[in-house]
Amino acid sequence: MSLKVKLSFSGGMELLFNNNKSAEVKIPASINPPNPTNMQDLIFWIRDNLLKERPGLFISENTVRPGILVLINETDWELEGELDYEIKDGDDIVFISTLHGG
Amino acid sequence: MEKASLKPGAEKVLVALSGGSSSRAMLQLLYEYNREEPHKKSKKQVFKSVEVCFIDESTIVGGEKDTVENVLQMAQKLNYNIMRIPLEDIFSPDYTTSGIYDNVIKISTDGVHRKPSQELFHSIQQQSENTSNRDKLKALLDGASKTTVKEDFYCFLKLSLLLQYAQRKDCTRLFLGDSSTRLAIKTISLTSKGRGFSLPLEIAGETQWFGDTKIMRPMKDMLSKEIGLYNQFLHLDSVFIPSLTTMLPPKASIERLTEDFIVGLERDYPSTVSTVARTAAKLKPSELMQDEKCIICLMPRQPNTKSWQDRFTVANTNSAAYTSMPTCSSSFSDGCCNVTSSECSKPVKRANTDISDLLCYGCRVNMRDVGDVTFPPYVAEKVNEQRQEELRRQIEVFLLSDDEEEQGEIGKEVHIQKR
Repeated sequence: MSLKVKLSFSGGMELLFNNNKSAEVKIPASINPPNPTNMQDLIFWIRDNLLKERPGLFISENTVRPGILVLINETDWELEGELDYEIKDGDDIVFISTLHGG
Repeated sequence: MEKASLKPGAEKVLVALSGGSSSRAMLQLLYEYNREEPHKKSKKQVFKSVEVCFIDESTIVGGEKDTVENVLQMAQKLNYNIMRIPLEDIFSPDYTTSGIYDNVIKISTDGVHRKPSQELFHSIQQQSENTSNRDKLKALLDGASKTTVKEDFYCFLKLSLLLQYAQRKDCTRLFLGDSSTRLAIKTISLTSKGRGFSLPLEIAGETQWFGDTKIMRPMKDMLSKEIGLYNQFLHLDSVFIPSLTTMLPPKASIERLTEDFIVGLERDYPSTVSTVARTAAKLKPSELMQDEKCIICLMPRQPNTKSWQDRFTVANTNSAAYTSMPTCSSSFSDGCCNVTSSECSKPVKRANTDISDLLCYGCRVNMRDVGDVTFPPYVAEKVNEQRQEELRRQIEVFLLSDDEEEQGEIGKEVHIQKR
């Protein structure tokens, strides 16, 4: 079983991903069995599978670097439980860097 | 924005658009605010007209090819005039007060490289036509070894360009897109860079420091996160402009490190940014601020920063002893001009005098990091202006004393004739 997720990167984030602004990816429904895949797993998955450069500019202390905005289906992820949010099929997840120079 | 201070329909505004999220949102908000609404009683627009200015840095920092085109389209979609000014144009004489000044200023240190206290010699020379403006700009930035200093130069050049352009277009207001987050970062980083004196001006929502052009920061109460969300929901695409510190580790520059610090704090203590920004907003410009501008950053400078810096830094005793009277022209009270005028004029080499007195503390600190660099015409012009001002002051003294002498001599002559 796998989940289809749409990922978008902007505000300079795309530089870390080979200038790809968006990607449709398929991720396992349970990266850490038996728990369903949550944001924490997704972030690590992105780091291991998509990230091209400098993980330090994407992740710090096991979550995304401060200054990077995360939206899950057009909603601030802080309202969705941040790292504990369970990914659903068809989710639209946006990462926006608000930092100067990306 | 204080609506009360606005006379409707009278003022022209220049918007500084980088294409980044904050200035993009600012442009949109201004558009909404300034739109003629049919159902309103007064059909006057708040601002007479809106000009947009985009400083193109792509020659230095690179970036994607279509970035420039995208930024131009942002303004054109809203039917605004947009002007693209490449950053290297700062070396063109068009961007000086007089509009024709074409000399550059070469600043060199007195040999003791990277010592805390040093004299800065300069010579004003005709610009060479062989090197392109782009290469000149590159040389200037390469002259500084620290990224922090480079970023500073960047900032000053941009501001100078914007102000010149605003003046040329008769814009009475210049809108900068600093968000609350950015201002909190600036508060800390400017303080660390020794720019505390001018800090109140650099973060003010409105300042008149630059005379005819009021600088305003309409985005000052918005967090960068709010701006990011706003743009996302309105589907405003901003372009990404790489900066000098793009892809560099957080410790690359003071600015970058401060950003990391503030943004990091904001995550764990969500009101950090607004607390810092609001505290800083309470700062009032010092009463000591006079008309004296630093020739590089155009911010106010305190008199005597040099002797002050000398006092608390350990420096080569020789240079410290002589810095107080680098040349005859610096001041009259230091004894030099007690000697006859012919001797006095000898040590004065006008082409190669110490200009460190004309810099603010922050810029003086920066110059420690710089070898020989050539600054653009606007700096040279400022030096000339200030020197002339100084000269005028000196001449005033002479004129007075000359008058007295003449009167005395005439008196003598009359006396002799009488005899």
